[in-house]
Amino acid sequence: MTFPRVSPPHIRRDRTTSDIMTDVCIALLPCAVAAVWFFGIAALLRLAVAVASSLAAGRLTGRRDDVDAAAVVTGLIVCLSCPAQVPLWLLTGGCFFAVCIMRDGFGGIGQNMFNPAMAARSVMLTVFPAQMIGYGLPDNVSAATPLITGSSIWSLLVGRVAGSMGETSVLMIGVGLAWLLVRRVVRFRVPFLATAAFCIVMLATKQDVLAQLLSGSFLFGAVFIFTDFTGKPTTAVGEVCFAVLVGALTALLRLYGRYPEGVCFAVLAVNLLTPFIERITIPKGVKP
Amino acid sequence: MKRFRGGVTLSHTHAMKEAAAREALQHLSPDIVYVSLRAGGRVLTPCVTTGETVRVGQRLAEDDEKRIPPLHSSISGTVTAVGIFHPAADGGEAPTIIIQNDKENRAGNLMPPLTETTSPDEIVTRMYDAGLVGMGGSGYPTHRKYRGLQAKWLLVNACECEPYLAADLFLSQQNVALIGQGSRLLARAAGVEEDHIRLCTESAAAADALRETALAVVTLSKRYPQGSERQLVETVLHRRLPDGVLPTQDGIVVSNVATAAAMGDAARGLPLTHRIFTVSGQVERPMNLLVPIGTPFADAVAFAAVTAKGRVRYVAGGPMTGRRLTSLMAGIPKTCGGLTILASQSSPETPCIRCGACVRACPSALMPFWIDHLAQAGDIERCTTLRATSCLSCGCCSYVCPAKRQLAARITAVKREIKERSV
Repeated sequence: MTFPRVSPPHIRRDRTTSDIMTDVCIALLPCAVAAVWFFGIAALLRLAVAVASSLAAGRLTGRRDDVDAAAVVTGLIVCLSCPAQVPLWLLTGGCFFAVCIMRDGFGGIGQNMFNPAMAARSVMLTVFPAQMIGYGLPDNVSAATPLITGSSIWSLLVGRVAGSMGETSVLMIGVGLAWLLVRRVVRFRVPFLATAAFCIVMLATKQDVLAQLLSGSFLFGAVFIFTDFTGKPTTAVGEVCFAVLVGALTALLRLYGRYPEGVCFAVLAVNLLTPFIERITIPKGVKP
Repeated sequence: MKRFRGGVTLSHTHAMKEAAAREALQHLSPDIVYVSLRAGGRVLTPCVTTGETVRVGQRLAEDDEKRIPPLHSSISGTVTAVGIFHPAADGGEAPTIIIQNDKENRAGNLMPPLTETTSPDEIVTRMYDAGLVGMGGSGYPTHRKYRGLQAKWLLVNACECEPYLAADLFLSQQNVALIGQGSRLLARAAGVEEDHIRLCTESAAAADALRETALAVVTLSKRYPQGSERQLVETVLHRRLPDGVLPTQDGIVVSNVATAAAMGDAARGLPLTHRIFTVSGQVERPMNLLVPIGTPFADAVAFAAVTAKGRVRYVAGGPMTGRRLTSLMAGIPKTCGGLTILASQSSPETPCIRCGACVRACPSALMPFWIDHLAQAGDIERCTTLRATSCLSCGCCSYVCPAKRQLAARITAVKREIKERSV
């Protein structure tokens, strides 16, 4: 099967894969700034290490034409979903694991079955729980995550609470979402439906919906992780199924799971279902 | 206004289209015309000989099986070669009749005009005699579409399918009387009542002009591919045609506005010898030309001040579905609405990131990235299950793809492969 080397269409939309990945990096910046603001030089150092190691990992195992920004996105998400006192060796290892094994080991950009950052995070969390769970407060007083302590709504919005580096500030996540929506990298459907499903489960189990929604890493996940192209179905109906499943599963894992947060495990589980969801939601066309 | 599924907005090209439609029509008089004998997968038999003097409208070649309508001379002059291989607009080389223009424009014998009482069969015969084919680009012989047809609706398509091209837009603002007459004749041939004719355009100005025909006019969106016939049916008649079902099988006949105008001419006894042709793209002043069929593309290029930098790509037709010309000496065929001149740029294919843009853009609700993937693996069977044969080759998927994959080209190749295997 062949076709002419120069084939129609002869005009293409300007946007490239690199543009999309750069937009995601930009959308992650507010969260990174918040991390540095609240957790200081420690966060800055860890962001730098994560970006450098994911770039190196991308160069090590990626294809020659892979865009660097894609690896940076993975590194940033791994870093921002870790607590501020995560050891540098663990963070570096996590970034290499995410890019080299979970992304390139599965066939490279677009071929990976699981969200690389979330796969790395879940491995880090289960293998090194001591290093991953002791959340630091902004003033570096070790304390439990707000899911356990409870905080005022305002500090949850701003992010002046204990938690993973980049996931505490709801306002900054909102700024990131706005950028992704304006640049049309992300559509409204997945984050909105996942949030709705999450809230419904919380309501049904008589939880404090607002506190549950604003604390922990759910909103960070809804904006930056559930929307990852590779792990979700491409069909419209498939996206709806995916969003509802992942939102509800996150809530259930948070309530009944062994770990304080369920985002990473919920994403991995629904990633597994994605090929199936996609296959059964292929548009059938109009039948005679 | 109802929207069709998928598609893309190409707003940056709208201004060029309107600019071209505003310019006065330039009449081209080429020194030599090249009429390709290859049409619709067949080669026509010449009925002139080298050295013969021909007049405008004289029959040059015809199909032994009458599947393809005859070709007519678009100029008066001397035949200098018959059946010689010459570059063709549809690729490669084809047997061609070459005529030297004497610039005297001597008209041949006209066919008798059609009257109010002409029967549908006579109209269909006239379609054949006048050399009518689908001028929107399909090139499907009009007489074969209308023969024995009993339809309920006639959609006259003035929505230029392609960006940049403005031939239909220009025509619908200029030759309104001809369009009206032609549309009524088409309707009569198809057994369509007059109040079931819809003139469809995407331009408000053209809609105003077309209302003078006293036929119903529908204004549609500027979204691409509004001019594709299935999308036209979807938006005008709120009906999505099942896969593999042609509009004519559902009682709907769609004809291009230029075909309708050519029908109007045919009724006056004039065969199809000229067409309106847009020169656009990265040029200083996009414009419409009236070209005799067979005029080399090079003569049209002479009217364009090319602004594209570096290597230039000449595309026969519009940028979304047009074919790159390998030679500018090819003659302009009846079906070609324009020439798009673009800077030659190639973007290498990178891996699919599953962003789903192609799935959203596909007007046929296909999964382009998936078919692309299977095609590369050579799994034609599963491409068939994924309805690859319903692809319109509109190019929307490739246009939106951030990984710059050649989705449309590969799916078109798959479609061809499936067709060949089923024969």
